[in-house]
Amino acid sequence: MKWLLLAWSNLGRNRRRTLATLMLTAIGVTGIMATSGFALYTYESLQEFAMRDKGHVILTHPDFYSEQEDFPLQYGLEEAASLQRTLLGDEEVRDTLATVEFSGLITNGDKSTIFLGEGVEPELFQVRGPVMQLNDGRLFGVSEDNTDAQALIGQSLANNLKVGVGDGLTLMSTTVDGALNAIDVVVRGIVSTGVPEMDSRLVMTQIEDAQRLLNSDRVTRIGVYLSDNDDADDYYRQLVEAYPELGVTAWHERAFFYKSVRNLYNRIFGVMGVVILAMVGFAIFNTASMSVMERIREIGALAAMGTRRREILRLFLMEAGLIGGLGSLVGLALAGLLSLGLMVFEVQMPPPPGQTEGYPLQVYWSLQVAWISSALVIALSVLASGFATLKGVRKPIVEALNYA
Amino acid sequence: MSLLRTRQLTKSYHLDEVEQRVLTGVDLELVAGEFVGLVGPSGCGKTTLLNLCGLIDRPDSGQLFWHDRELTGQTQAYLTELRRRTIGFVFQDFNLIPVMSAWDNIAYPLMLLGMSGTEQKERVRSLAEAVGIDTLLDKRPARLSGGQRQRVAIARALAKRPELIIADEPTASLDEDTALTVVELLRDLGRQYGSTVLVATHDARLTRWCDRLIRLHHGHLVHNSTTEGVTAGEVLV
Repeated sequence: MKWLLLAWSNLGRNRRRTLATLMLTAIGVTGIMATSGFALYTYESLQEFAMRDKGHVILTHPDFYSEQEDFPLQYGLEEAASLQRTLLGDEEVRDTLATVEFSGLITNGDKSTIFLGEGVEPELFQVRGPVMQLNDGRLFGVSEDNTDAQALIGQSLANNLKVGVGDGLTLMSTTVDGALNAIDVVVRGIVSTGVPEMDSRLVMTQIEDAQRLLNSDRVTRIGVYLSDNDDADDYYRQLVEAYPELGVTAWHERAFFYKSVRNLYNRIFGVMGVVILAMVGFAIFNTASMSVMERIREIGALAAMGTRRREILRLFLMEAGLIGGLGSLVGLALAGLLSLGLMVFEVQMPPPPGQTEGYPLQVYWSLQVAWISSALVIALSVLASGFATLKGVRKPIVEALNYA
Repeated sequence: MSLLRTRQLTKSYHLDEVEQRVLTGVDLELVAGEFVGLVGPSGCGKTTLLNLCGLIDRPDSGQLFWHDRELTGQTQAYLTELRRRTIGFVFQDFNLIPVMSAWDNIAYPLMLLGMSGTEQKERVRSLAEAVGIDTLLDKRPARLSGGQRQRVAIARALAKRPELIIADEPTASLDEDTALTVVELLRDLGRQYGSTVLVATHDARLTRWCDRLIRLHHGHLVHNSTTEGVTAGEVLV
């Protein structure tokens, strides 16, 4: 305790220098917390998006993701409704959604273009939550009597075909038998996914209409939505065992965007973290070096009185540890304020490459990152100080006492 | 009884690759409880001899015995422990720790020995009274005069009741009256605690307090006797 008090007192020898080093350490910790917090927010948002998009676990025909289909729904699932009812019996499952993927030509009578279609259940938007923006019209509703074939189309596709809500369109595709088929749909809503390429091709119909167009009662996949994200891995393993005849895919296996962003951010922010830590390390090294040089005679006197070298070294390490610890505390507080500030005063980020919508900038304050960054900064401070101090501590006592 | 004994101590320093012999064949014996003055002109090797006797430097050749146990070849750690327990230092420039109060400076060697807080308090209090700084204990060195700082340094050196006190020009930074008081204090307290004091000085007037005088000249011990009959001229030359 006495040593700690002495170390604390020594910090006051050159207050300005101590404060400058402490603030640099604090800014370093804030930097690590802010970049990590932003990365965590992004990961969580993308993870949430990926889970909501296709479900926590995806059930398909075993060859669906590995083979190319010769005709629509060749690798589709039979008796999807029965499977869905069984899955809903599991307590972890919040809901299931069957989807039919299809493609073909869409026409307004005068002009045709390619579309990418999804036949969906009306619960889709309740189960998924907000994954796209409704620009006009209405989404599919659960309790509505949807007798007419209706479609939601992407904003760019609507612009291209010059149609609005209530206008009629024709979808043409090949059936499972290889015949050409077409259905008429009424535009129910115009949506935007934020990805221009998708908005120029997207058509969503009710699942029955898609099956009618393809002339099949199969579905492409069943997305299983769980009540708790944390159950995803365990439930995935459970389904792999329970349905060996099906293709069971975990959400992250199909979350390519999430994975590539995560890989990219880990590298970018990892390098930034190393740079920040190096800056903190050099600052502490510099401070400790100056402090040691100024106190060489004192080190000599302490050693003459019988203070062991390791005790002198420990004193300097404690000083560095205190600077690192205090800097970390200030840095964590600053990061907390930044996080709160961004919640109160919304800052909008520009759209990412390939997207049209920006998103609010948020920085998570993570206790785990706080522990790790503080521990790293304190360890680095102690290490840098140790290197700087060793030279002074190793100086012969007589030389140290005569140091000018 | 011999506390510290040296045999044929030799020490050289290298300045710009030129070897400079500082001590040559010094034989010396310090007896427990005596107050010994080390005198001689500047550059004669007083400080070097003090450093060797204080175990903060090693001789090039010769032997050094502590209670008849030879210290030549002992590890640094062993010598550190010996200094920690048995040797006190009074430096010319005081070398007090600036961020510590006078109290903490005096208590520092006791802290190294792991002494309890109560015992530390008792020792510091009695020593502070003995050296006359009991009202200044909460002050840091920067707020003390030179004489007061040296009193703190003496109290610090005596705190652990050392067997040997090494004092290198303890009065050099002090005015005449204070210097006399400080040396008298060092002698009296040394006697009171049974410590041997080896004090290097230029000041001829201070030698009257010494039980014995050792005079160095060009690294050789040329005079080793009681102070009786020694003149100021002999001390300084």
